[in-house]
Amino acid sequence: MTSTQRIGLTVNGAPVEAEVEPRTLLVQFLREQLQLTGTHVGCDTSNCGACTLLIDGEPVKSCTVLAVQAAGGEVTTVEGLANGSEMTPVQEGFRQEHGLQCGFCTPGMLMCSSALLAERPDPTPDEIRDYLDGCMCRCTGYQMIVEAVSWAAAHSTTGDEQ
Amino acid sequence: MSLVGARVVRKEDPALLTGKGRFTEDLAATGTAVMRYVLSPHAHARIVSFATDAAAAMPGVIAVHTAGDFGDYPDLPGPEPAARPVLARGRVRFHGEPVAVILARDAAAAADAVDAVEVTYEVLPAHVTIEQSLAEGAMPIHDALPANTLMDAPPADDIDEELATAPHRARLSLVNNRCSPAPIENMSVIADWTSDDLVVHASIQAPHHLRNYLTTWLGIPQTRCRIVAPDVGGGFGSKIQWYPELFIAPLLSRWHGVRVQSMLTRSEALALMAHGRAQHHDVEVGFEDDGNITALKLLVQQDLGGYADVTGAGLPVLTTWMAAGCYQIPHVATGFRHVLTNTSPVSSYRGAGRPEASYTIERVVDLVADRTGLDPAEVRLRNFIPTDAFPYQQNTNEAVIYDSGDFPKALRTLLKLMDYEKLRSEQQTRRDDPTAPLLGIGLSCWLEIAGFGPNGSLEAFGHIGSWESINLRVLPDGTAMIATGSSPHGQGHETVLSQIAADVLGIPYDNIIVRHGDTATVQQGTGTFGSRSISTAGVGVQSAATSMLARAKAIAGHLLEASPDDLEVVDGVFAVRGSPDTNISWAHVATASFQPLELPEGMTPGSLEEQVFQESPNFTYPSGAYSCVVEVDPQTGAVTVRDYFAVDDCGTVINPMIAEGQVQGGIAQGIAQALYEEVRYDEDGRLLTATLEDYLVPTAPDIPQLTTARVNTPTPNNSLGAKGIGESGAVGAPPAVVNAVIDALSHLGIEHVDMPLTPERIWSVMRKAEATG
Amino acid sequence: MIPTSFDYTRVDTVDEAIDLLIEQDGARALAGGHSLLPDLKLRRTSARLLIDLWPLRAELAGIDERDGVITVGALTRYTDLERSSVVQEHLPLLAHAAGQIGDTQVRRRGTIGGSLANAARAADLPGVALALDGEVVVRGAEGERTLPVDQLLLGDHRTSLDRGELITHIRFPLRRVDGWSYQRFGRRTQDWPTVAVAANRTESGTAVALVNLADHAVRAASVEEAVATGAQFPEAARRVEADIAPRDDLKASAAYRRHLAGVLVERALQHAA
Repeated sequence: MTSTQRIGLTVNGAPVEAEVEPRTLLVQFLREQLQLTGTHVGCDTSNCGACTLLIDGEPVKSCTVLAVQAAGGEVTTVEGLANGSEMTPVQEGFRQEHGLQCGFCTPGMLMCSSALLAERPDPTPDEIRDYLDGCMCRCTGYQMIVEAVSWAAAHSTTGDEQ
Repeated sequence: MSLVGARVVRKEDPALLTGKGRFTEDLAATGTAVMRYVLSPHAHARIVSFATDAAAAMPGVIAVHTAGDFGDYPDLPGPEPAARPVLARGRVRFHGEPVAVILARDAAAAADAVDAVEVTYEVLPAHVTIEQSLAEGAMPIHDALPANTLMDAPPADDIDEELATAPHRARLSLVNNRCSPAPIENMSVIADWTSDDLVVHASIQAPHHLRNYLTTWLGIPQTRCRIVAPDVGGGFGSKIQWYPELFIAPLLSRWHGVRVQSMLTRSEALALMAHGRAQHHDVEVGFEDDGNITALKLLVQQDLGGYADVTGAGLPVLTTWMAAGCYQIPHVATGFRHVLTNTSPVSSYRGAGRPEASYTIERVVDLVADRTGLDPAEVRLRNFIPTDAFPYQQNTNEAVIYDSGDFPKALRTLLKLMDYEKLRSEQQTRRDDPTAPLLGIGLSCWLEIAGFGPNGSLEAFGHIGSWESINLRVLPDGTAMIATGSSPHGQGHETVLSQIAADVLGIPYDNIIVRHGDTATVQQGTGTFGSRSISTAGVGVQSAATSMLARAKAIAGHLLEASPDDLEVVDGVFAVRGSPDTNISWAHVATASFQPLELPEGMTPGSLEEQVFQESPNFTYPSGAYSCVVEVDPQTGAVTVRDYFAVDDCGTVINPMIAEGQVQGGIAQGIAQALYEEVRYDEDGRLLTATLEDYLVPTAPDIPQLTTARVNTPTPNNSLGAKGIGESGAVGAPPAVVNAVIDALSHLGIEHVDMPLTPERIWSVMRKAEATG
Repeated sequence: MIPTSFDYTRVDTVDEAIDLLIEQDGARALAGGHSLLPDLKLRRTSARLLIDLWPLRAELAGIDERDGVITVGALTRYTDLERSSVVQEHLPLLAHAAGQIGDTQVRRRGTIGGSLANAARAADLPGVALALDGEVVVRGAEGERTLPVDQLLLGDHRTSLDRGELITHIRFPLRRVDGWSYQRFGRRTQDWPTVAVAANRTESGTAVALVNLADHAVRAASVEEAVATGAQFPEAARRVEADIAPRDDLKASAAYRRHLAGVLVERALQHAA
């Protein structure tokens, strides 16, 4: 058994300090120690993307990052997207275009889609598909996810997507 | 304004979009102990001995258990004598079968302890394929069986004469590839039996069904057991089986006084959650010069895996029932055989037995077109059941009576949608250019049996009934609550059931909530599977609401001093037709319903509650016409889906957005089966596709944009006219894709390639065709 | 899902990492971690100490063009290669190929140095670096050495790096690119290539490198020679047979890989022409 290490990071805008075992995955840390259960785990090999969140604004699979690696970083999870009850255009797009069914892959899809629109505010459907190539959804067949992201692009003002 | 038929956004979404969904694993509070299996590295072996002391002594480990510790408990429910023990008892029958279970304080300790358990095996020959299991002298996988056939049901009718006398006959052997349903949420269970009552949260499709079996198995009263299916991350038929952790976790909680969590890893889930399909078909067809099919004989071999699952055993029954598809075929004979192999158990996967049927009959129709030189669309039109022939007694089985449909209309709608003639001429031009990718156009006119609700239909699969239960009640403030036994996992029940209730009751949509998935709050239930929820739960809501509305009108009429027959209800207000000022709100009526002094003579408080166990007089038969357009790279064999067109007929649509989502998701899974996915084993029966790196679930760029349309022939079998839509896409898509690829290759003399159509398989058959051609 | 236990440390200098790798048994260098962490999670491998190189990005991430050489820091991520205007302009093959690796999220963690040091037979960048005549700058306890990528790669997950040696930079000669192609053939978009062929045509001739056709990425020497001596592309592509030793796996048979090699080499030559 190795000793724990103290880490400090920012999660959804708030500073967090914690003791973690080095082998603790970032997603485990968020779910088990911070009770932020919105980020899900769907595989062991970083194929499914359900655990995707943002570190310093970039989409990352949190099952393939150790909590200790994230120390000093700014982590944004699905819980950090909406401002109170005000959903972001990406979240609203998924609702309007039925971009989710069971909702299990959805947090990863939302985080990846948010990163896409931050990089590229007006993507084509093919660009959306390509960007989401690291996220599996077993329910929707993806088309309505593509439409959800397009909806978000069409309903975002520059200020919404920093 | 009617909400039924309207595109209403979902009630379910806000929580799921903001990280407030509550899936089973999310409920593992601090202090929950973790169970992990020790898995067999062999497909077939005798367990000689265990060494568990080292694991048991590790820090954080609470206990290590093997089969002997469960000796007081029976096998898991399943067809004898091939039912499954909770943990392998003396013998393992598939790779990954649990042989021991660790209980530890946390997941890390459990994982470490798994590695410390030593098991000695005597390896036995593994029967990985149906052929190996059925080979002369093959060792029976279950000692109580003389061989590896669990049940053999040869055709009841002899149509060999009809086949022999047909002007033409053709045969095909097809493999319906073994798939993993692979919901993104793996199987997950939390059991708490630290007090008198057992509470189980689990990622399942049918909580009441589990309660009925689990309590019997444990020998406890049902009053002492609560099963909850919270948010469930997809099921696709793979979350209604009797997985051992559903039975072990409660016992571990009881024995050790801790809350116990089981969460399969993806690698475990790919081995332990039921696989689907896994059928071999031998089919023979007799037909005439004009493409008329006169006789069809189908023999199905169902690979059950190492243990028989009750639903798995039922799959080939449904396949044989649906063997004739949309067609009027004078002579049909079908038979099936269950075969045990040293592989993971096989059970339902989206469509469960019907995709296998539609695949084969649609391949057969294309083969007839190919042999006669007729257009595949024309052959279908010539053999369709006429639109005026419904209800149609299909001659596969007397239980199969097609409710309604208009197959020619669906096909013609499709051909127009895709501009079929233009594509055919493009195809010809392409063939004249040897460097161009080959173009293939595939049709699939499919139908399926759905709406599992008729008496007896689910009893055959081990359920206590086939109804679905609805409780509808109006609360004193005029809001309404629906409790449904159908337990959804993405299908949008909260939305669509509210739409149906709102239409009948005139209570605003936003004032209706739907509860599900909890045996403590939902009276009784059957579950969500088999495209049954609309035709059972949906119809139940309509029926309950209709009965209740009459009583609400009686109360409103009494309070307004008007005749109930003169009342209408709009937007939460009862008013006298023609004099809208004489009105009373639903809230007022609802409150009055609990106040004896406000009630009309003979009515008692609490009358605005209605319970329905909704049965169905018969099955429903959703149908449709799909087309896939592919390009095949003649050099590499790579298939690219260029276009995909889908025309669905599910009868009445409650919410077109949700129906569309079901169709699209099903089609994506069907395309995945046809092009990407296959569970594979090595020759020793070790699972090769044990991660999502090797089991190829496609992502967004791998799946094409779909173009969809709809025709509507409402079912006469229920008051909504709705047939169900959950499985359609998965039933219809695989033959559309395969027919397209074969169409692209048919000029080379290629008549069939088994799924998945990997580039290598296509290259290989093309090479063979060129060598022999 | 949960790795065996290990210690973790971050390093601030390359030398510190080197010292730890030499001193500590079971120490492993951690870059983006997208090969190492899944292997640890599945317990296919173990480590006693992970040395996180990420803080060295200040020093070892970046792309620099000077004196006819493009120097890429080992901790430069795939996504940085994909977006770099220097790489896009002078090493378009590398920019394109980097954008095809894995998926969006993987490309934001994976690094060029990590890919070369990991030397997976199916990895894209070792082959691409070969086609670009890349060389790696390696630092160890004994100091620094530079070796061409073809001397780095010894086999599947095997390199000529000694214990305690780290790749710090990858250097590419700056040449006028007249044509290039990356023919990547896989099942799903996110998959490793079943086979890939990289071609780069410059003033020094046409370089062709092959991915997943031998134990490690190789140059298609026979093809290059045929092209150099004026062979037609189909003829040159047929020569690839002599350059490969493909194997069977779950994704494809050796025979099919052999076939794909010919098809993709011909296409690569055509596209690069």
